[in-house]
Amino acid sequence: MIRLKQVSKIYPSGVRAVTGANLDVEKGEFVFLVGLSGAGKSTLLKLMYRAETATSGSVLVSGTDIGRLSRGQLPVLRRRIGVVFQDYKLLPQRTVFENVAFALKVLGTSRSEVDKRTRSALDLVNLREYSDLMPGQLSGGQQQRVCLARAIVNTPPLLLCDEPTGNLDPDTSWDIMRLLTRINQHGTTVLVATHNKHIVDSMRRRVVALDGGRIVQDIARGGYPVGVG
Amino acid sequence: MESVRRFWRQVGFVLEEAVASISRQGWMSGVVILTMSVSLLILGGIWQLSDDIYGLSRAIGGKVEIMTFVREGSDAARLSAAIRQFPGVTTTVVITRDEAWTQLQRDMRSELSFENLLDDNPLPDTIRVKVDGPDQVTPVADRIRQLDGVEDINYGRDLLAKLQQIAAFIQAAGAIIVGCLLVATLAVTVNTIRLTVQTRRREIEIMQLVGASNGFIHWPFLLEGMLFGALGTLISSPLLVSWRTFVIQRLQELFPFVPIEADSMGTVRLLANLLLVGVGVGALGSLVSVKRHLSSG
Repeated sequence: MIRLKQVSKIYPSGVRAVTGANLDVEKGEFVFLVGLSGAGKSTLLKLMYRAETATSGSVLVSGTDIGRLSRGQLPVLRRRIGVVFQDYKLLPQRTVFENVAFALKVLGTSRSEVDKRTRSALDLVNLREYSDLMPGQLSGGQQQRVCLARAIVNTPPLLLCDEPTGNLDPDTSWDIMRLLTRINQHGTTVLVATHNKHIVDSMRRRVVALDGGRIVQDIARGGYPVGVG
Repeated sequence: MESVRRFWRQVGFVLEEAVASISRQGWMSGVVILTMSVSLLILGGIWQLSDDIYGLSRAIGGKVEIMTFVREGSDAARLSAAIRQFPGVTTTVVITRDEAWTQLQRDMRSELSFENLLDDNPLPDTIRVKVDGPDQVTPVADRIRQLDGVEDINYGRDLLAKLQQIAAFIQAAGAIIVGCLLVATLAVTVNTIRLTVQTRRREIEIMQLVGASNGFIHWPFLLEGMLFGALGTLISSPLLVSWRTFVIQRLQELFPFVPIEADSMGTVRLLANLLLVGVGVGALGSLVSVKRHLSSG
């Protein structure tokens, strides 16, 4: 599903965010990316949906070297990837339903299909009855679930989550993790960047640890590595 | 077939978005529309003023007649009929030497008596020739001069040349001023629309994230810009119409001898042009703003 080959990213400011990263993620895997703030987790995810381009090395998603995609081809890649952010990035002037439906409408999906898929995405995150509320009327956890619904409404084979529980209390964080597990069980490959030690330790999934922009550990069913934040 | 349906659904979405975002942004849209209407008002006002003054100079020029003096013994009626065939000639009126003599005597009666001075009528037959517009005067005059039986002609050549100079100057100056104002309007529009693009950067980000093409992302903004322009024109229209009425009235007072037509077609044409400018500038302003935003993101 994802293959990173000797990927490095140096920002124009000179900051080396990622150095010589090699990583293989199979289809249907659930992977935690862990490390301190500034370890390079977010940059690694951004490289996967090409919000950033690698300074050197190659990033392959479903066999395609995404660094070589033209501007015109980029939207095709993005339609196959769902992204969840720590700060939700919801549209404040649209209802919950509209926020989720937006992702489908932009792509010209038929109205009946938009309604059906938006409702089932909201069902999955248990927010059906909140459809008509505005994001500002929801709690942080609920807003994150809306963000999750929007990311999966187009049923992408890959879901990238950047600190999805960063702003949430422990109980709500577990709700989100349970949802991600369910989504993964449906066959979606899930990558979660986090520094939530408790969750990583409890879930016993593959853990890729980053430190100073380098991948320092990759354990198949591990916990939060000692000495990494 | 599905791709065609998908395309039309996207068109529908774009239209919906453009209209919804104008109302959603509330005061921000109001600011943009008002700014555009003020810019268009200034642009339209100056445009129309230069147009009307140019029209006036032409109208004065159009009053110029070619007085054609007929050689003694020639047939004035035949000459008049021949002149009437010339392109650009609207009317010809023959004033016989007797009519002219009577008229002159009547005009001058209080001052002196011709009867004692002259026994004979010294005046020639005259043909008063009116032409389409000031541009026609010189070419028509040249043709008349070459006719057999024409003694001389008189048509205020110097006045006409002055008027044509003034008209050309007004037209050129007007075009330059309108051109500058157009650039200024565009600059103002780009900057105000950029504010709305800024407030919607998250929307743009999400559209990019879920895989909308850059071309598609442009459309709602483009339509929004066009709507801003159209609404701006709509607001400035009544003011422009009253401004035009006021200007025409003032000009008429200043030049009571020239018929200035406040033709409604001229006003309609001005508003139609302004609508085109408004919509065009709005579209261009949006395009520039979004392009800048996308390339900087």
